[in-house]
Amino acid sequence: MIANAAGSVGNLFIQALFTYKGLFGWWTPSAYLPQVLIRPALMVILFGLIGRYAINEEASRELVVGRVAYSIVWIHIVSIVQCFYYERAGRTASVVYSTPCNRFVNYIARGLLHFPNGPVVTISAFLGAWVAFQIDLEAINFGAVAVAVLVLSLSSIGFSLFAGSIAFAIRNYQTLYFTMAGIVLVLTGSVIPVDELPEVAQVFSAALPLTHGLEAFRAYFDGEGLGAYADKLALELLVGAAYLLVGYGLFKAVELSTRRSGGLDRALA
Amino acid sequence: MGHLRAFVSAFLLQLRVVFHPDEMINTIVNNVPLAAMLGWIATRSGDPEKFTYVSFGVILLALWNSGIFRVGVALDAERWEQTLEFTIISRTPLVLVLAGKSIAVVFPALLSGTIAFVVVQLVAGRLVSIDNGALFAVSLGIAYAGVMFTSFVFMPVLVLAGGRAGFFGTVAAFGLVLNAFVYPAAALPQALEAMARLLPTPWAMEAVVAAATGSEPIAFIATRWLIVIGVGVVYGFVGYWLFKVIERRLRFAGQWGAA
Repeated sequence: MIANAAGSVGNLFIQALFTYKGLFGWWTPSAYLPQVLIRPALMVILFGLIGRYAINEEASRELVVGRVAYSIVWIHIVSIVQCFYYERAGRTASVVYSTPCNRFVNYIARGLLHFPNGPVVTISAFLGAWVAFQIDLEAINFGAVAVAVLVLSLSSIGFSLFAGSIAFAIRNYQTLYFTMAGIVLVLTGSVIPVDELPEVAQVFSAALPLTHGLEAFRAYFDGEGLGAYADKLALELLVGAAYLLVGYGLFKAVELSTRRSGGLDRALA
Repeated sequence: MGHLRAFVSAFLLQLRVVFHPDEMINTIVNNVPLAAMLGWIATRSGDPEKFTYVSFGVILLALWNSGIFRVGVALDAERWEQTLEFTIISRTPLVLVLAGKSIAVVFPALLSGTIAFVVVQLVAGRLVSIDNGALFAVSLGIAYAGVMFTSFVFMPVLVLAGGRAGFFGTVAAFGLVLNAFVYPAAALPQALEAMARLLPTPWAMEAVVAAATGSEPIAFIATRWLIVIGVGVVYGFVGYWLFKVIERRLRFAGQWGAA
């Protein structure tokens, strides 16, 4: 029993490693450095600058914090969706379908090694903001912020696996990740506070990743204790888990459809 | 005449690529959310000049965002598909073919710029006003040229750097900050402002906003036009020289950039 469990965990990590190395286009240093480390920091600086110019220092700080948190979702959506698409474009999905491997393990493995990119992107984005705007560090509850980052990374991976399953089913994956990332940017409170959105959008916002976790993330940045917003973090995890499961359903549905029609390209749009 | 035909063919070929429905949708969905957010931020200010900056800045921002990305991708695609070699063995200068391609990329970017402008006005719930239409039109045209000059110089740089996945996005992000599209260059930290002043776009945006708000005399605007044209010409020469470097590398070393 223990040997079986160890074998499954080992299998999960092997699949995760191969998926990451084989399908993640930015895993080499020449792509990782600009895309995962530099770009998020620049985007945070852009929002901080426009906030400071158009409104004031306080608004700039709010925008910077929101954008740092958004970077986590952004990197996971872009990189995981990219991996799903390359599997389809490289026609290696059919190889997976011909094996008896556990599909849920295979599905989870597609997101596993992307997890560290959440904390990494947060650190680089925050450092960029700190250098550009000399953010006051004393008020920040760093321990609680770290927990929030881990939770946001988990939930955004759940959401990105869901998006990845859709990428398996469509031809234009760039439209998918631009749209998904755009929806999260506009509706989760990273720029516009959720209570300023139209009522319908607020309902939709509650079902998106980042919305609940961002509330906690902002509070911890202002020095709140971990327990004060633990319920928001729990809700964030719940949203991520829901997307993960719905995404798995889609992943299986795509396989079934492919088996019936004999090929991804013939089965889907 | 042969050169002109090659230029037009390169332009038309790239135009077909960029007007593919998938490409058009990508260009739009990539720019609309960012424009909406910048529009919302601009409405918080209550200052007409700041609103003007963002309203017209997003047009150039969309042009840059789409332009630099698409130009880089076009060139890199040629590199990977090994079709650039056919250009090299022909008598047509490489720079002419790639200039045709980069001009073609501008057209969908014009559309996404217009959409970004409309999105900002919709989010703000009001329409930005223009004080002097003629000065504004010339300023915007010169600003477009400024963005194109900058994109043009980055085109060979992307290849010389061995343009890999992710590289274009980062160059684009650097440009979003340094080009000072949605705020004046003076709003940047000093070191970044010094770098931004070497680009044509911060000067161009100052002319666009001054023409739209009527806040500065014509001499101020004309000076900015001259600076944009002057810096643009320098960029044009640098771009041309870099293209020559690429051609030499292929002819003598038999390889592109760092590849």
